[in-house]
Amino acid sequence: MNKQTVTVYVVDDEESVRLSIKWLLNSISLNVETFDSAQAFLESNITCPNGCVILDVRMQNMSGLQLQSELITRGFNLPVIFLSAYGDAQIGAQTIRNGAVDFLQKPYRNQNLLDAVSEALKISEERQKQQLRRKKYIDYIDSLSPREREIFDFVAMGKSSKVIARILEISPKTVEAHRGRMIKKLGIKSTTDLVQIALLTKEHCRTCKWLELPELEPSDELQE
Amino acid sequence: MVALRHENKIRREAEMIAHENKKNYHNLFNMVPIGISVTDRNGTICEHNREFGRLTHLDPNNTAINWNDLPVEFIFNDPEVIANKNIPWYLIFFKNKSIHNLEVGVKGVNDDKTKWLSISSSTIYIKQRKMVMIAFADITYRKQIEKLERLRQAELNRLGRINSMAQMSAALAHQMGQPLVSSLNYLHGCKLRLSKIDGTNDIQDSIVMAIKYLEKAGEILRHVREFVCKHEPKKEMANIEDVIRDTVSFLNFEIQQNQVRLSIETSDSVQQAPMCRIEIQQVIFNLIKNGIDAMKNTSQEDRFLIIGAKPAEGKHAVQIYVKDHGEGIESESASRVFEPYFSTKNGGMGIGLTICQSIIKSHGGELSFSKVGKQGSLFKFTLPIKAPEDLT
Repeated sequence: MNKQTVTVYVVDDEESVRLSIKWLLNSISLNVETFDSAQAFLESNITCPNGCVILDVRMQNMSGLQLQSELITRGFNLPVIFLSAYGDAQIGAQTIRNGAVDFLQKPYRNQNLLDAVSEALKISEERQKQQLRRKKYIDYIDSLSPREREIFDFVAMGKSSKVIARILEISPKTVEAHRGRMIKKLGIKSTTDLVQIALLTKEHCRTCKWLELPELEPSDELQE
Repeated sequence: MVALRHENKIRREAEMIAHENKKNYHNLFNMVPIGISVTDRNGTICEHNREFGRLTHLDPNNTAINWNDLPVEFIFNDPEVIANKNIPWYLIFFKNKSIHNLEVGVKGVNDDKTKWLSISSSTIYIKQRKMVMIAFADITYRKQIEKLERLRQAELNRLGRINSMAQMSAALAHQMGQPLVSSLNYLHGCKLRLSKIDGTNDIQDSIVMAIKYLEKAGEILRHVREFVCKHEPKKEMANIEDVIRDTVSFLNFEIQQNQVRLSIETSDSVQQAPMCRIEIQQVIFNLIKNGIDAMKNTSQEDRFLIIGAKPAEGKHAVQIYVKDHGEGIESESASRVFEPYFSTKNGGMGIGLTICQSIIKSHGGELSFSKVGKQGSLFKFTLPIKAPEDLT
């Protein structure tokens, strides 16, 4: 993963805070972009796959909390860290329930911010990996020939090679060969993983993002 | 002759009626709860009733006395003693005027309690001699109520001010938070960048110090905010030693400024109790502050303050105590220290301990006070270790 593509987006209507966070995060070679309002951030239509967002809770017009819900509706994928000038524990709890990584109260300790950012970036990286894996699996499933797809579905149903061979009236060896190729091509470890991936044939599971996908063999790490 | 006898009878009857009237009048004169007196041109009090005697500490056997010889002094609100020759109701004698409800204090020469009078007077003629009749109504009780009312109002106003001060502090803490955070961000960034350059260790070290002090400032700000912000009293388990140390750190400046030596005594056997942290901190804060104030006149080397916690005897509770080495509280005041609006401090509001007591009561504990030897006071309160709902 190239570190330069990782971007931290800072949304705070207080200029001094915005710019000083940029300076701080630049110091650990992070790319930072700043926005002075929630609207400005929404309008810029960020599509960066890897990074995180630092949001001030209270801003004019649109609050950080509102921006967070808007981002959730839009399916925005980057983790969010909240900064608050008030000790509003209730808002804090709300942001965390909505999936925020952390809720820091100004004046916070710098180390806490750095920790939160590194945590958020780790989450983002993991999400991105998942995303790429998902895409790869979906592409693979979609590129299967009708016969391969049949075999894939039967395997996912838990049927043994022998049974599948009998149903399709082909030799078990051919079925075995297909299975082996699928597992190898997908870079997964076993039939169990394949069953999990098979969920991606369902339209709902392709989009819901909740599906945990099997880890890849280390040698077969995904490339962009 | 018959006519003469008849005339005589009528006269006798009239005399009797007059005599009875006089007697009745005299009784009434002595009974009324208003002090009445009649004074002549020379300032001699020719006639007075019992209430007048009581109000002016007059000897009941002494019938004719001059205003100049009364064993009392009269004072205006200021409080300014009125010279006997200038007594207003006597001056009117020469001006044919009258006085209505003039409020004047009266104080026995050997007595320091002031009674308050509402005085009215006017000139009258007795046996064709001009006199002045003076009525004293005792309004001491009303005055006391009024004073209490005024104090209460002042305290309400003051509480109101404190409330707006709290809001101001919250706003201040908010506004200071931003620049503080920004400077910390920049400094931290500098430190991180310098760490990549050789030979900058001393600069890095000083930046670390700057960061440390700014973070300290942040801590103080956070404290202030927590302390002044409105909060829902919510009881949570809290470490007692932490709570004490936190409160002490809040008062560090005061402790140093007053050169007080403070020690904290804690016991390993009590560590946690359910409490509303901020409220308990407020109580400890108040007790320490009172202790420091009580030692203002103690010689510097004797200014010890001990704050500690230990298990309360025979109870599922912890006892937290604050012991000072100050002037102590006089025994007549001792029974009143928890009374609202009672204060031994100059300019004290007299509500600190009252609030403390209500906080401790709401926690199911008790706040009490005792003397320590010849010098100093010991304030202690208990906190149940288990929340009330757990005990049932």
